[in-house]
Amino acid sequence: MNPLSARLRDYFYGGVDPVRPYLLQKAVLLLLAFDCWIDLIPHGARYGAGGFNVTHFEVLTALLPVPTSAVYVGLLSAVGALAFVLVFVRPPRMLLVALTLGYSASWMLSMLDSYQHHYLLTLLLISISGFPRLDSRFLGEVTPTRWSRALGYTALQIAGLGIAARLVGFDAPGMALLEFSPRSAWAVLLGVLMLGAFLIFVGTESSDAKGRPAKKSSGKKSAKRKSAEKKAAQKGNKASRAPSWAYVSFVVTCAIVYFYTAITKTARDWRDGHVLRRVARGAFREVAERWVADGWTLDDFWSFQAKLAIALQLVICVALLVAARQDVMKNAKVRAVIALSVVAPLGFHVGAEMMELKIGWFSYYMIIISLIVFAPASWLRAVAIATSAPAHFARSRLGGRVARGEPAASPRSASPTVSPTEQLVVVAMSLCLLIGMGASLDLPGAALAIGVVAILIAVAAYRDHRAGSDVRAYAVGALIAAAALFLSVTQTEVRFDYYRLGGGEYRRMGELEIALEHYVKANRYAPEDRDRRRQEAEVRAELERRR
Amino acid sequence: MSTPPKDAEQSGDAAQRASDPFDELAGPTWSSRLLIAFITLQLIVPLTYYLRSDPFDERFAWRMFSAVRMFRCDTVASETGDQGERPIDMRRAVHRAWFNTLGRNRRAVIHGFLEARCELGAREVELTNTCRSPAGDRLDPQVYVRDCATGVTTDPQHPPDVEDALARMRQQDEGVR
Repeated sequence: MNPLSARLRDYFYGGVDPVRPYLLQKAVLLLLAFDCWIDLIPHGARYGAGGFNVTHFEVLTALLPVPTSAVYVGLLSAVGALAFVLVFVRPPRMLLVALTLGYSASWMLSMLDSYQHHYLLTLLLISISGFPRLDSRFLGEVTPTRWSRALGYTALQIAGLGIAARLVGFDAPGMALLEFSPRSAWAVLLGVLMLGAFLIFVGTESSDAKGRPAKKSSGKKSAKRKSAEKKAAQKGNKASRAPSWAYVSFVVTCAIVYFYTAITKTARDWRDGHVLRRVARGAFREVAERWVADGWTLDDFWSFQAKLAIALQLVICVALLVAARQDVMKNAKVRAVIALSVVAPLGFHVGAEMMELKIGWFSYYMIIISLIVFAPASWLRAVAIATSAPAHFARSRLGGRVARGEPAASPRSASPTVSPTEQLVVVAMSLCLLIGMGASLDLPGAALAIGVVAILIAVAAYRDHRAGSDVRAYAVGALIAAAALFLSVTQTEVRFDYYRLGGGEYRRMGELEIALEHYVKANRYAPEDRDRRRQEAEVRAELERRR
Repeated sequence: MSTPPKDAEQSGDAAQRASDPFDELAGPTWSSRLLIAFITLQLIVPLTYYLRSDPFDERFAWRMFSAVRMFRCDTVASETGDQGERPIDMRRAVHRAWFNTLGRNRRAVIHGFLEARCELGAREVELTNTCRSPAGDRLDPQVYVRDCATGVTTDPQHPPDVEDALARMRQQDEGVR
């Protein structure tokens, strides 16, 4: 093997702490689910309007019919549901590939969607499809302390009562305090819920990645243990490394994007700030005014910000390439520098949000990705333990078979309480509920597409069942996905925006009957003071005149 | 403490390996070739932008917020049929998102639009984008014509000189200073 090949082999196959691909996969999939449901579906009504379409690739334009709004909205509802379910299970590669294809189809189908970060997501999903298949068991056994558990359960109960009160419309005392914005109560309750889950498992201990139980901490660490820990750290904790090629390709993909965007900006018009001063809006303009008040000229301000953006993107690119290997690095100081370099992507993307660039959820993806790629693995393990708390709880309390004949975590969990067949029935029932939820949303195509995804999930669950795995996580995932889908669509303006935008487009194109249908539904889902009653009346009058 | 028999220990190790999720895809076998292709493709595709004759199609090139995106165009179209030439009401012909994309000189979309109008019975369709640079200068009109009988689309003879337009933007900013 020549030296370059050897280096590349080391770079891509050197190993990674499993917590990184584990969290990265879950975070990206979770964000993707909400992105599809909340940010993309509202644009669906224009698909198929006027019978005109051009796909991103000529071959698709030649082969495919014009995608309708039902195809687009159905695809995104289903992709979101699948992504959400995959967060809760040890994701089968078959489903990850299906997710990648489904999501890619959603933008490839039409040049109406030409956002560059959508095809970046396709590239990232391709990498994610190759991530090691992990569930929270790699974290080992997790034991909560008594106090944190008590506080956690209390928080869970408060959140549970609050959610129940809101669902039934009961005006509970104190609820008014949460109503500082229309949806704030839900956000607060969700926050309390998550805090509860976190508290239950904060101060926990976990065994090592191979499932060996950790020894109880006795306050002061013995010299022997300290030395062992130091040795393990120096070795880069080789035992707990996962295959890294897919993870590294994920990080390298991000680095390539930052590299090219930085190169684009080195043209003189960008470098000198001419472009930036024209695209920046919002709070960033206020920042400019403050700097001018401090004695800067506007030219110098924009020129400085432009050069800073280029520098930051190049720093992020290099930092990402180095950070991809941080789990095998022996030098603690270098790892600390890598962790600190998270400031670059955070600064860049917070700045981008301040400019109100209308780039969807791109900044949020990149902020979360950066946090996971740059943070020390030990911190990420704490987050993973907290976020996988419900899974640990279910596994230790509900019992059942353990996947692939691994030793049971405790004698309690060794005795099955649900037979494998019953597990499959529960999965099937949960998937039916998910389809039902899709059907209840009043969005075209959602029920059918979610039905197709439910079949795929059922096949994957059956295959896992045949391999001897506990498949109840699929049921849990489907149930929570159903609830999340329902809340995402009904507690936001997704339907209002979808029908409002559709009404406007069809009206402009002279398709008044379709426009009227859209306006009627837009008014059904309109938030206060934003209804489209006037537009509905105008379209009705115009239709009357035509008759 | 009794030591487990060596055989049992070995079979236990084998079982552990078989069930170890980290063993999956661990080696540089088939995956390495895919990986090299995947990364190489990502490095090459953005470079193709700089070889294309069409400066307005920035897809797959990671040119977010480039100056090219800031050109603003007025789009008008007309078609020649049995009753002579008549303007196309663009508000009715396509919805706003497509109208905006046509105004960004996306050739594939313009070609698709011209073809769609031909299918509605026109003999010749013409679309003109009159663009302004970020500095506000009016550029030469970009005229796209499709002969429906032959199916041949003629693209603008002189694509706008983006570099020249951007140089004028810089001059304008310097003038303000």
